[in-house]
Amino acid sequence: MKTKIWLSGIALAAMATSAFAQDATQVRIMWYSDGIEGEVIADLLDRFEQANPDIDIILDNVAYQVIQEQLPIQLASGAGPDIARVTNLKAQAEHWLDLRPYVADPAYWDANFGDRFDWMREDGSNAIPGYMTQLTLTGGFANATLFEQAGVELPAHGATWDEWAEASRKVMEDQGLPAAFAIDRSGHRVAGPAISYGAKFIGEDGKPAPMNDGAMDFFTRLTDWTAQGLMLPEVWVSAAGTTYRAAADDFINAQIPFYYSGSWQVANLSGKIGDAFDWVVVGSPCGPAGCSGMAGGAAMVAVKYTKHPEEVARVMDYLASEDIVREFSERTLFLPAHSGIVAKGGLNFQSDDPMVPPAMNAYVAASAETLPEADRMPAWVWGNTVYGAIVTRISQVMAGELTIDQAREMMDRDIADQVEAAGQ
Amino acid sequence: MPLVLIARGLDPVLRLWQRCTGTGGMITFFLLPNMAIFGVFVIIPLVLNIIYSMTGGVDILLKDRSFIGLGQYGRLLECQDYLVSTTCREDQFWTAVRNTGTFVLFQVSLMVCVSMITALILNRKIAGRGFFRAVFFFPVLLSPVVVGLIWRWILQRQGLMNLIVTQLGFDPVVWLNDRFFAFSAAIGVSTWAHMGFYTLILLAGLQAIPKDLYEAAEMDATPASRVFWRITLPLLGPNLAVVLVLALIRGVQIFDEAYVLTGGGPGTSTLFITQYIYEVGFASFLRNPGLAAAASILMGLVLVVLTLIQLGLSRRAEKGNAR
Amino acid sequence: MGRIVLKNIRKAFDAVEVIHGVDLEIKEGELVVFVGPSGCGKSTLLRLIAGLDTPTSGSIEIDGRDVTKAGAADRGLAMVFQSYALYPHMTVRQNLSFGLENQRMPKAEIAARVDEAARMLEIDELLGRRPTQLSGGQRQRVAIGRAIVRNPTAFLLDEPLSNLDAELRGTMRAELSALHARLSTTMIYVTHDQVEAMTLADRIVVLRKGVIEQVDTPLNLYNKPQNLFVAGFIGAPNMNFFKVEVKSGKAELPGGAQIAVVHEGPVTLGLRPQHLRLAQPEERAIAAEVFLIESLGAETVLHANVEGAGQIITVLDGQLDIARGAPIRLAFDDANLHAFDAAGQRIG
Repeated sequence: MKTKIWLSGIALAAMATSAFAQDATQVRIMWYSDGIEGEVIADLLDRFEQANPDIDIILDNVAYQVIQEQLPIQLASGAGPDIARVTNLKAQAEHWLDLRPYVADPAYWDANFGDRFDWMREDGSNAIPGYMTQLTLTGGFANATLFEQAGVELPAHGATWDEWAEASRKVMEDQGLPAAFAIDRSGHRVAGPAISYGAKFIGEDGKPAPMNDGAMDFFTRLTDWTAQGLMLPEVWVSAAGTTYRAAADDFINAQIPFYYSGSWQVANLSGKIGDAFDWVVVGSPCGPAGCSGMAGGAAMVAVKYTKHPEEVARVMDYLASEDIVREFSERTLFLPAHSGIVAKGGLNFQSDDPMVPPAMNAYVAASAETLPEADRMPAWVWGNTVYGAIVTRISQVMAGELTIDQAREMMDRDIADQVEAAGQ
Repeated sequence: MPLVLIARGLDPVLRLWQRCTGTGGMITFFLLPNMAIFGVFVIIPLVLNIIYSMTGGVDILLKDRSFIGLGQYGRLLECQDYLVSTTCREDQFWTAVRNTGTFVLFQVSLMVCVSMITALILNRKIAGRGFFRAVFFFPVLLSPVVVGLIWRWILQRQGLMNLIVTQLGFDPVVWLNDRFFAFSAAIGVSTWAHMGFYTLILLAGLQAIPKDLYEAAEMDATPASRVFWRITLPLLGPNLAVVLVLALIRGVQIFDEAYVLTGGGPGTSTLFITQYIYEVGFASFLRNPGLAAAASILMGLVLVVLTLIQLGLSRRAEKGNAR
Repeated sequence: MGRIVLKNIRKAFDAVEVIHGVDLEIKEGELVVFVGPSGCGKSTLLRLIAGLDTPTSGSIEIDGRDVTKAGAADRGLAMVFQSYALYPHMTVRQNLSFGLENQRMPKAEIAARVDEAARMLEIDELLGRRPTQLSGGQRQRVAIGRAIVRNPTAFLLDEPLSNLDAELRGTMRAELSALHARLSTTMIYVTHDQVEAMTLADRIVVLRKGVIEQVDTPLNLYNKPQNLFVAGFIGAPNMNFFKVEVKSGKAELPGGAQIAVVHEGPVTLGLRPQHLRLAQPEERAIAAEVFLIESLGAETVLHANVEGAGQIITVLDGQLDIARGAPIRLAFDDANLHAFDAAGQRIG
């Protein structure tokens, strides 16, 4: 992989000999990685550059926090990269370039990625904003070895959250672990399970609805589990505001038998756990309304402020082509969002790890169980606002600063404030 | 060598210039670059910040925002009971204010006491005096992120502290998940990191006290505690005042070490005002730049007051020494 | 009250010994002056007596009580420092009261003592001021006052006048003398200035390199110096010395003057400048050539070269009409001749 420094060196050399060499157009891509996607995409881009010497791609592999915190500021000031891999899509839709006039075959795009365009573009728009690099689904991972050692059976498909909490508790006590399970510190992560308990976040008018009893039911459970010591406190309790914390390392170190995160962790877990223990994907535990996770994913989008839309479109065409998407998914162990590939099937996920294929298949199966409310969330403008309010206030309840009723009021108020501020 | 020639060559030019503009003009000319930098990077952003604090909306660029006068300030200061943050409109702001106030109260007191005691000890002829002076100063040289990380690793569940605790036969404790301990850790870590600097200031002040004053006190049969309270402390007065105000100013701005150590948690027990401003202005999903700007202006006012006090005190100290 | 005895005091700083076995007895009510060149150990000795340093060996007794191990606070002494060491942040009254407050004295008594000392030293109008608002002489009096109020067994003064200008020094010298007469307390006074020593002291202790050279009254030191060092130290200008060889009881001074000496071998003869006069034509005299004339008005100091014997200084009354390079002959009385043996000790 050509590193950024190497490429900058080449750019300098290119400048020095500019009289003789042809000026290559620079396309800057801001990328983040959960696992090994950085290396895979760099490899794919290398091949593109060799086939297209007039385009010089600079790949900035940054931390997720940079995408979350710094990219929005760059975009607001009319700057930023040419292409970015982003999760906060709908809220920032005004910054994405409409690729429709630039791509070689708009119909290809509509056919294979069209059903998720609404996640990335403003309501009522007909733009081609980009493509999903992967589909992700939230779901649980269980440490099968720990369950076996404790002599506890893994709860069957369709088990409720309470049953999972109980089973994990037994494993925790038997094995002397610090906690029974952990959930990433993210409102997005708990939204799916909340919907399984009957939460309805989207109001009739498309604006956020007040927290209903279903949502509060699940949140109360979360706080109770924390109070009982079942949920690992370091994840939710020990940061403030909307700061993101993942509990992956604790699961990898076999400190918790059950970990609720998402499909993007498969490659990461496979790589770091190796054969230390057996682990399985168990989908989402159930609530009264269903067994829903939350679909999502990151997308590659082109930024509206790019100076080279045609070159950007060529890069996007390449990356969105069926062969490249297939190769990317197989190497990074991501679920593809390409309708054609999903229909054809036969994805050959490249991993020596025997845990991976059943894990991926379990996720594919779980993607059929998402509730309609959960499916509407990624396309909803106010999704992140609601997630932010949830994580801020529920973690305060877990820390003992607020009662659950106060948290309910405050979540509604925080969200209403944000809606009002956006209208100003 | 060439610099000398250039300087010599410039000399007549500058002399001519000075004759035209007067000595005052020359001074302005040489100060201009620094003032320009200061203006661009400090004054202009300050003015912009004040403007931001009077606007609403979620956009980042000023031109996209709407003017709402003192609405943000009203929102910040709206409270039913100022002592109970949950009754406030912006409860996290008031939690942060209360946390910062408590932190400053305890941390500054602790810092001044520890620095004073350390300076007194280091002022004597003890073995390894030079070594200890260096050792106490090392943490000051560390980056605050490094300081926060070191202590987080020591205090985390699988950290050094728990290693000691389990060796002594107790159960491991998740230190940073306890509200009281996390707050105390923030105070302790911050004191540890900055104490050396203040110790040095106080040590310099101690060494400026003439030795024969202590001998005169000894001839006067003065007990040690009286020597400290009636001679050392009053003569250290100006230094102590400077240390106090510097520590206060730094204390109000606490962010780096605490953010890395606890991230504001558990809950919001170590959420300090700078972190609140950072989150509301930049990091959170519930981003509101205008509110953050208003909060930062309020915090700035507090710091201005403290700085004025420090200026007044150091001027008095200067007058005292000049006699 | 105020009898101080030093027995075989030795003091070493690290490996360097600075006081080599000093024995001294100071009587009650005496004003003893320690005098000597820089580095002779006089201040060190004073600090040892004060208790600010401890001797490496030897003992110190105050009124029969062994205080060698006692701290400065327990010896009942008061010290006036060279730099006065006044507490700069306290008023004069507070400076004077400080030591008494340490003794838990009732406030009324403290005030009485402070007022009395202030009156004695004429600083009663300055009691409300801070030391930085006082002149050098006033500060000095406050320092003395601080010592007086404590009614100490003895006063220790470490070069108290050396920071004052010459005129003030003279005035203060007289005041100190009067103070001593009034209080009759033992005073130990350290100075490098022999005029102060001669005028103030009941007895002078001449120190050199950590050893006592001679202890005696001022006039005895002047008239009968026991060794070369004391002879050369006391009296200004310094005594003139001539090295001669005594054969069969007779020695010859440069210029042919014959002297009878009760000693054999190498001898140093000393003559004070004030004891030389211009010789009558037939008088036995020393011949010299003037190279420097210092006219002071009341007297004239002549510096002259003696052939083969170095310089000679003489102090003559009045104003003289002598030119540089003029030859002079200086006569003397035998009674004023001092003789010292090869080891520098007095003969006779």
